[in-house]
Amino acid sequence: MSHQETPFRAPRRLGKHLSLTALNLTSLGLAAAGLVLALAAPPAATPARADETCQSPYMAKITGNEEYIYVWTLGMEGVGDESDKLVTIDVRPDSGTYGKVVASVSVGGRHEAHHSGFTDDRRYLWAGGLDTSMIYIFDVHTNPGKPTLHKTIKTFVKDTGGAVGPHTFYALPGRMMITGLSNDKDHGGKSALVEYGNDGAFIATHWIPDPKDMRGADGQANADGYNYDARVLPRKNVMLSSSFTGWSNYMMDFGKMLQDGEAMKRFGKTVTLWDLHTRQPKQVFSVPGAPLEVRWAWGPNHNYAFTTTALTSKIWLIKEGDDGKWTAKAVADIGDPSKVPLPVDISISADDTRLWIDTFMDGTARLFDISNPEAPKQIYQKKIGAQLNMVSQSWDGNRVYFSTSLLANWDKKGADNEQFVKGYDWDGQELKHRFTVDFIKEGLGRAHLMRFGASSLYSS
Amino acid sequence: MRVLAAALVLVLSAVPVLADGTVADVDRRALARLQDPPLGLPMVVPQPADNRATAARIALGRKLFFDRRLSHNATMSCAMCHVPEQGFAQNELATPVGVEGRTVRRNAPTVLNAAYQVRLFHDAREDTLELQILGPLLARNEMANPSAGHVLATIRAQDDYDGLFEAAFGEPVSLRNLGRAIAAWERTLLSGDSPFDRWRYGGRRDAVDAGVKRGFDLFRGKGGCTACHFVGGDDAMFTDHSLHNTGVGYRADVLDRRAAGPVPVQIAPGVVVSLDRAAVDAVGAPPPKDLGRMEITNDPDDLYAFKTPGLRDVALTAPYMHDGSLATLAAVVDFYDRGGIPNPNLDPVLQPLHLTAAEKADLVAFLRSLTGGNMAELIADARSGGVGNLTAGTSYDREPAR
Amino acid sequence: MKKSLAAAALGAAVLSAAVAAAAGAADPGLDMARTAQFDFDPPKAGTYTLPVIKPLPDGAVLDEDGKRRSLRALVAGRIALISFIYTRCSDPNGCPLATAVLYDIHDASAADRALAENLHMVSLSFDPAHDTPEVMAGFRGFDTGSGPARSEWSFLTTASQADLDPILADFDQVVRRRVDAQGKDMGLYAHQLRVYLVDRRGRVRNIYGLGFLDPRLLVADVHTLLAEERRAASQ
Repeated sequence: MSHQETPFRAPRRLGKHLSLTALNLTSLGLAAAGLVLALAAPPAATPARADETCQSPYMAKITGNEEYIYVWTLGMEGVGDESDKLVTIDVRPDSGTYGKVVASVSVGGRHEAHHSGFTDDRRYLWAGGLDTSMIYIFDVHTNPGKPTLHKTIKTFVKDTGGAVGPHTFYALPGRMMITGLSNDKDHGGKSALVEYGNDGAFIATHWIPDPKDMRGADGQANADGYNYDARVLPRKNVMLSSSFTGWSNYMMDFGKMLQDGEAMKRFGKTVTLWDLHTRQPKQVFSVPGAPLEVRWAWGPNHNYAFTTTALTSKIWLIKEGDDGKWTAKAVADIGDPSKVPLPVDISISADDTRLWIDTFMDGTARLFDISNPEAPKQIYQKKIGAQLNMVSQSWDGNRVYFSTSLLANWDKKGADNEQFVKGYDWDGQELKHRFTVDFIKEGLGRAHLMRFGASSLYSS
Repeated sequence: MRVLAAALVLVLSAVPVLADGTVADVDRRALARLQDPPLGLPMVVPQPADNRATAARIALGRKLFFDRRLSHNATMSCAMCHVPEQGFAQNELATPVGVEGRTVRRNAPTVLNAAYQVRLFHDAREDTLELQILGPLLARNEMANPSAGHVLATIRAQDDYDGLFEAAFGEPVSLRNLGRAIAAWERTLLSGDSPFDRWRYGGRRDAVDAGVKRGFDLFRGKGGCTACHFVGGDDAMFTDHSLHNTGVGYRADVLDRRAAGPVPVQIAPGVVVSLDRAAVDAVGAPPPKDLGRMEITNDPDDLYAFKTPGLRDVALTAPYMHDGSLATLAAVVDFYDRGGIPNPNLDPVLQPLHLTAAEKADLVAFLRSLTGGNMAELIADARSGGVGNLTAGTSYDREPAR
Repeated sequence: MKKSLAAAALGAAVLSAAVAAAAGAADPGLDMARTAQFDFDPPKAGTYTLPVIKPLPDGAVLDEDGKRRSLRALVAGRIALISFIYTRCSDPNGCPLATAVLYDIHDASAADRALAENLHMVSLSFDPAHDTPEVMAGFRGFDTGSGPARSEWSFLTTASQADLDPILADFDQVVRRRVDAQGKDMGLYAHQLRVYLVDRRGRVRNIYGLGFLDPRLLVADVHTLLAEERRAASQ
């Protein structure tokens, strides 16, 4: 028997001879981050770089410039319809409405709009409410310039057996990995990873290991059961989850919480390493001070990820050693940790040399050189506003977008409660302002997570 | 023993039964507690004439208590702030967080032994459990329902309540029956038979150690605690059901507002930083006023007066005081050792005590001996019915059609 | 094809032996070595669970003889791997990739009786206009009926776009015809690379895409389902 002549017969083990090197499989590591989307149109002769979750090279990608930014926006009392909404900003360079809001879909009511993520086929954007646990699924492919509400999942808590607060929406093939941040028994930090199918049907709940139920993982002395972000590196069959705090804290008035000694004891201090394929937790690392966003490096041999701790203001490196063992260690301070600058969102560049870090309290964007992941160094900073939370950059790193809202009750009060999305060009030296959308003046609310869209994704 | 067998039979014969012909064990045991409260509690559990407990009422009340759908946005049930595993109170916060994260001014009190409370809320503004529930259901910073009718409409809209009010009360859901059901279950949360009870009321000399015994002597003697935390000959609820100004309210409302120095904040285990107050104020709303009992009576003499809590299970219900401002029992003993906080309305019963360190430790040991021996049963009862959440999700993880 | 030297790597060898033992075969067949794209030792079959994702969608398909069949009936009674492809696809990271993975598993099944007996692989075209039953029969790169027993592998298409569309919709398989700047059909498709694992009772238990199509994982999953069946049978 022979099938050697078959043109489709690849040598055993696809990776050995089929060149996947240019297809950055670690792009999955940013699937739900909305960090890196735009890239130059690849000439036919050169291998394409997949953007974000576009797992098939046949799938249309954002080539050139991203066209739209979808901003998952918290409703704000006293502003507009006071409801959470998906706001679309036009960023087509030649458009007459560049830097302007071109669409807005209100979901009715406030749900603590927070993060969102595309399905793997990139036709839908899932957006969650940390408070009410509602999940809103927006159709972004029928008309990328005007998303519509496609479906609402109201039963997250019931479906999952008590997980509360859907946060990260992380695309895996045919399904969503979602982090829930709390639970329906005490609104504390006991929490879970949850999977839903792209059709909106519940699949599974995976509780984060805690000292009373380690679920087979090592690191009982570290474990706390808390959860925040999840990111995968399929090349190593691993997933990382980080840890924030439960509903009571993330919903509470920030100033009140800082003065509540009991509440301040209830923050995550762990990063958990999982077997991606089996969804089994393997090891719990001690990472004190609420590690939030997790970003895997992109390089094909870069077996490491970064996270930053919100309260202790440090960059942590989670890395596989030469012996195959994973470790976590603090590698740099962010600003002056004794002043609690509160690092929030981070964005890694496609070449693994730069990391943008927003610090909320001083409204400052900071750029770190992470060429040596063991010793990140801040090389640039710019005050963007009175407060600052999210940062998203284009694949080529030339465009960087910022937004303001952290959580409804954590945002600054009074005049410092600026709410905006600002677009900048980055020339390698300087952030150059391109546009500002004032979300209060526009009657929208608190600007949170930004995702990039483009009509080129859905046409040939 | 105080088993009232005849009464028990009467009650059981009147209760509805499960589909399989039995009363659920958990409800049977709850009724048994009402008939024969644990050691150290008053023999007769007060029940209003129009709300005698039945298994159906208890089961319905439990279900309502844990139903998050009863808040405006389906996030808060009674149990989110009265957490069974946290002494039916809330250990993780000084004061609760309500719908949309709104600030609640006062520490969540335990529901344990609420049956014996004469007046409810820290300012004693309500007098029956049946009526008490209306407060949290409608408070904008708690469960935030826009109206009483909205609450009833929410319950009517849930299939899983079909027939339950009819079975329990012979009539559909109403405000009256809602309050009666929840109160019926709450009354069964009877916690007693603590080491202290076994020693003091059970005659078991070895039930507590010498430190507890010394602590009890201090409690009754040098500490003067029984001036407000009453202890009877046959039972003890450790409260005078009255209100007092200890200075905690004054401190929060007057002294703390004047504070200008940095704020110590724990940012990780063992790591405390001093934050500029301006930085804290930038991200915080000003703390709400709290005048205590005076808000109810408009009587200046009631300024910063709050109700004396019972002390049963006090080791489980940290943090302490009406605003949750003291983290540990040791801190509470220190507070009273200093005679409270001076202010114009300070209750004269509070005086510096000059306790030694050993005496303070004994007092804490005594307070720790007040944890009910049947706590596991009460937690299991509370968790027996699950949590009410929005329903009708989709999952394919079930047997396929054959 | 013979086992590569790299498969002698310790961890892989241990796992290979385990798989071989489970299959009762002398030669594990599957190359268990790590690669640059799958730089890990796969989990041991049966040590984890695969949640139910959804019921297997059904639809009318055509087999290589042009006979109209129900997809669900066709795979009923065995564990299935279903791969959506079109034969004109020439991108090495597209359909050929999925087909290559199935080839590896097909090869492995010659030395793994459990795979040979219990696994049914399906390559289903989403290009019915071009991929007729004859084309699909020709696409098959091997003869049936000779050599050691292997997993059955069906090469299917549909009679029409009208038959195909509901299948794609139910599988949530995105396929879009590509047109050039003039709007002319390029004979190419933009699609989401997906392979579906279906248990014996007709429930989708895993979905693989680019970055996850490691034959070692797919085989481990099939054996995990077999272990689950054994556990259920013994209860």
